[in-house]
Amino acid sequence: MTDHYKQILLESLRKEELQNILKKLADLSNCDVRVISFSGDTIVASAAQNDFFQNAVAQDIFLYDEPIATVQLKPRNRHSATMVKITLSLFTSLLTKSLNDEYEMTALVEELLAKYEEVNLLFDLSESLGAEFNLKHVYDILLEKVVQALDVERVSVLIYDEKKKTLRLIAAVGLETQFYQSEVPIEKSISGYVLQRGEPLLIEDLNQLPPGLQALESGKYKTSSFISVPLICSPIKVKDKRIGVINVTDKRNGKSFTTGDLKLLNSIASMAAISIYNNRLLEQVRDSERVKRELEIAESIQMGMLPSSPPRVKGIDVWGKCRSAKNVGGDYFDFFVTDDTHLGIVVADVSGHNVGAALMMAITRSALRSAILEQKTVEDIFRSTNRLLFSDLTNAGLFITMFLAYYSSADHMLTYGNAGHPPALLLRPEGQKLYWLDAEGLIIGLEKEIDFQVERRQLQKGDILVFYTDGIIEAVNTANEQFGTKSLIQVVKKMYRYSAQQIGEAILNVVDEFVGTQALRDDVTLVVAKIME
Amino acid sequence: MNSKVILVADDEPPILRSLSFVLKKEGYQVVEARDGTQVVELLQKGVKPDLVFLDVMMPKMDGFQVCKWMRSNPQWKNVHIIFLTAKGQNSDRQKGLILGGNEYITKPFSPSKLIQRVREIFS
Repeated sequence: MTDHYKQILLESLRKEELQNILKKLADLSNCDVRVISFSGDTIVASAAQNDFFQNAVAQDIFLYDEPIATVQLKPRNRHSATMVKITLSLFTSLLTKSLNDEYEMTALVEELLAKYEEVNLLFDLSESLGAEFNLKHVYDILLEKVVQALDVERVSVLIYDEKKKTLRLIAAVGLETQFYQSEVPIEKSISGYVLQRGEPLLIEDLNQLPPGLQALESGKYKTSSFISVPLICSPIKVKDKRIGVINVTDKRNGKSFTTGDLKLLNSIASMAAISIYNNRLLEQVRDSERVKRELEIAESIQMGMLPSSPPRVKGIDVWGKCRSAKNVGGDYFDFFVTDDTHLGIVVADVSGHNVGAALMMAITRSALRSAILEQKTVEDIFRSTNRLLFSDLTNAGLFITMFLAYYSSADHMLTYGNAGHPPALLLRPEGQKLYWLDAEGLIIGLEKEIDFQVERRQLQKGDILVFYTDGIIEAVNTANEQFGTKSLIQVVKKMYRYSAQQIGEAILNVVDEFVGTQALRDDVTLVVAKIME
Repeated sequence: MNSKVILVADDEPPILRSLSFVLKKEGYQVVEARDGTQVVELLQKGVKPDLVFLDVMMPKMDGFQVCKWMRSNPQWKNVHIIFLTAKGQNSDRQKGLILGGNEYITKPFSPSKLIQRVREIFS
């Protein structure tokens, strides 16, 4: 107990109520009394003159075995020694009782003040953390508040890496920089022990650790007392998510940590854990948002690679559409016009419908366009495209199916080749005849050199050609049935009098109705051509 | 012993006692009042505080009334007044400052921050 603390306790004896009691008791016992501190100050006295107490009998007041003041008693007239002794001891008992009560009350007040400090700290912490959406700042706030609340020189925050099964030092105060980002094994370390147990640990003496454990920087601490507390996030739905550990050591006043410090750090840790957990979730959301935005950009670029409107070529009405199952896909169609009587049509499908497929689609488009610019034959276009793309496709583990057709309106001749793509459908309304247009050829990207067979077919006015990717015929409804070629034929037969666009849109509408609430699993591409004269 | 006298007024015994203790521990002389009228009585009796803590919500005479009374008296016109308000009572804070209070502290106060502030005021 400090002298100042004793002084505060003694001051309580100056209370008016107590002074009145002392005066009355003095009159009753016919003895005057006073209390003097060890520095000689009179705290209370029943008689005004100090010199009156010369040769008085005296007794010390003890508080928890520690003397804190002296009671002096002087009879106003003759008293027996026994009587004086009894009276002095009565006064001393009364004053001791009063000081004891005050002492206990003060202890309670100190406890209350510690609680105020804690409430304020936690309130501050929740206000700062609640508004913080950056994980690094969360650690900064955590360190700052811990230093402030526990008055320590060293704090370290270690975060658990679930994949590596190690703890990584992520933020610290008062630690040598070489330790930053260092990894601590779960086994043998204090932090790992605390993380696994999931309970806070107060170590009185770092030199006497439980067997098998060692401190991060043994031998470098100023004080040997140490607290390690797990960061556990326990929201209702996430059962005990262990995030990491927070350690403190080196209290500025050089003293050992108390259980009060432990409780305080535990409260801070549990609040910080929730914030860390939430900020991690937020980072995940941000990442997926970023990917989503990038995919949207890719989608618009990819859509820009498809023909925006069908070309006008004498004697043929043509229309095409491509819909991706996700943002980006591997389906592709294109038209090539070399002069007003020749139209090239390509429908292709890169395996997969992810970003890789979309990239490959873009490369395919360039390869095709350059081949066509060189005015190659259908067979040469296939061979050169395959040769050009082979290594890229092999490296990416992808392949392409492709149907390529050339129509010459001068002689109504269709020249076509097929690299493993579904055959095209030809409907001749005259007599409602159906033909499957197919040609031998291997899927692009399987072998470096491939021979492609080229077929020719004489067309006539009214003929309808349908090129598509497997996304159409393999579209699945809620009963898990495939759309199939039969349904496709039905629509075309019903719609043959209409334009290429109307037939194409009718097919897509029927596919949409068929699929219903099922999401499209694959990209869907459709090109319809109608011979007009 | 510090010669600065601080008058503390609050009707809640735990707040009064704890605030008083924190200040005494720092060495200041503390005079306690349990309501607004006691503050006025103490001042009239000759207590000369260098700093006054006034709880806003007190029986008989609230903190605002005491502040108004003090500011209308030349002797107490410039003494530093800190209001004690409950958390979230923003309107109280503004009213207190308009009536001539110098600042406010929310309850339950942080002992360390309070002491730091008092030291600053007297420095």
